[in-house]
Amino acid sequence: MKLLRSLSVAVAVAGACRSGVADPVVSSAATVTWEDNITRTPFAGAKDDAFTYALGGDAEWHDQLTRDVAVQYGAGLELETCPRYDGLDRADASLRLALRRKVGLGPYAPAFRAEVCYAGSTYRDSQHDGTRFTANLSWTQRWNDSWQTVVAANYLQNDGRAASYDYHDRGLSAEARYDLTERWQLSAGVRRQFGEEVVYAWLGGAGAAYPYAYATWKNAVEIPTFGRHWYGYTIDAHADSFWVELSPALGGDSSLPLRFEQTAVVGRGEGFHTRLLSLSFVKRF
Amino acid sequence: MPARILAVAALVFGLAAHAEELVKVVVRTTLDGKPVADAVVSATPLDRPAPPPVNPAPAQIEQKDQEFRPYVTAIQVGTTVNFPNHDTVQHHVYSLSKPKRFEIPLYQSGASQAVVFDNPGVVTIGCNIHDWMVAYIVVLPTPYYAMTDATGAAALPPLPAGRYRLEVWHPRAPSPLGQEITSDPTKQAVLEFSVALKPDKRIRRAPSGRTNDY
Repeated sequence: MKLLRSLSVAVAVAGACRSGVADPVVSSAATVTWEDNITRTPFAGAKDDAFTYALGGDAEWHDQLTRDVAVQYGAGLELETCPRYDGLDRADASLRLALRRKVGLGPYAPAFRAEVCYAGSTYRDSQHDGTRFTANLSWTQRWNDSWQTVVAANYLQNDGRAASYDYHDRGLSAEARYDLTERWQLSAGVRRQFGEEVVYAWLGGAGAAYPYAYATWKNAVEIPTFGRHWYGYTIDAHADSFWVELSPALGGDSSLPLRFEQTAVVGRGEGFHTRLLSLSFVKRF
Repeated sequence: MPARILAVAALVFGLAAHAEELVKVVVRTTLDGKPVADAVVSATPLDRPAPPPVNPAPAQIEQKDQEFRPYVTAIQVGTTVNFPNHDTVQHHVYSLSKPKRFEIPLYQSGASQAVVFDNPGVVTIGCNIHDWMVAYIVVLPTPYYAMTDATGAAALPPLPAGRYRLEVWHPRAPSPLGQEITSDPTKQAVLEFSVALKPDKRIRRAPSGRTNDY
């Protein structure tokens, strides 16, 4: 909570120091996602998939500190529901503060951004409740009118109400975007996360977890989200993801990205895959 | 590029009462003959220096809906251009073009900045925050210029007798089109140009999926 307070103060001070009043950049997104293995389990008999529906809004302010350094601060809110497992219904609120340096002028000048974000989440199943701190460093480079790349490093720490949601990890990612036309954009990326991953296991009968894996489980807690005899725990692991996204523009300020993302989580003694297919409507006001 | 000029037609409408020739230029696309708007047509005297600007009225390029308006502006050397921000967000206007390099760091809605353009040439304007924003200022060494309208037509100011270099510039033309003309005060002329336009490829404005590009 100290960090949340510090970030709130920083955002408030940044707001108070602003020389004038400019409207924030407001954006929103509505997303429907099909999530394979939403139960995040290595055990075949316990895997299940589900749809989730999310609605989010975001406001961000910008101020120039020096000729090429800008401060950006903002707040976001997101609501998500999962009709199949309503314990995953959640509301997220986040505050963030970033410094952005664009070295030079024009669309081809490299832009570097350092961002910290603090978010709080509340779930219908309150064991998932918690706060999340993320720090992100990124380098965005446009190479020509069509090609753009983003390379980023991130750190995440999650503190949950249940012990199984206390975890942290760090990662590296790279994404390339190609504008097929002024309207259609294709992007693809890869990411590797190192640290801890949340896993679930059903211990209620056939298909239950193998005993040898218990030694690698940390903070195992019974979680009612998916039914009886389900346990959540963390493992030391790395997670490799790749994604592909096709995004048609609907006018100048909105788009309809279709995204596929697959993640392979590999821990000691167990591993699993998750797959996401999502369709969003993104609108910048 | 005289090769690109499909037809040059000087139509005699009869003796004019002017001591200056009225020249109208029509610009169309090579591919399908559609009219080309926003082309800058200029006539630069070859026999004598162009008349200097006499207190030219300031031009204006506003930022509205996160675009520059107008897209193309033609001015004579020495003209001041105002850049009012009529958006609710800030803009950072700049140009890296040789005829005029300048930068107006982030400024707010309602504010306006002025820049004097004192060298001839084409100046590309951008916003350092919103990369899709682009506009062109064509700074001309002559007072004889006009821009084509939606019908592709532009009427030059009356030209005194003499030889001129006539040029047509458009942001999507690979290079300016030009030819030498001789102004005859007894005539009115209609000149027709055909231009092969490049695709209108601009940096995408729409937001990407999960990242804040702003």
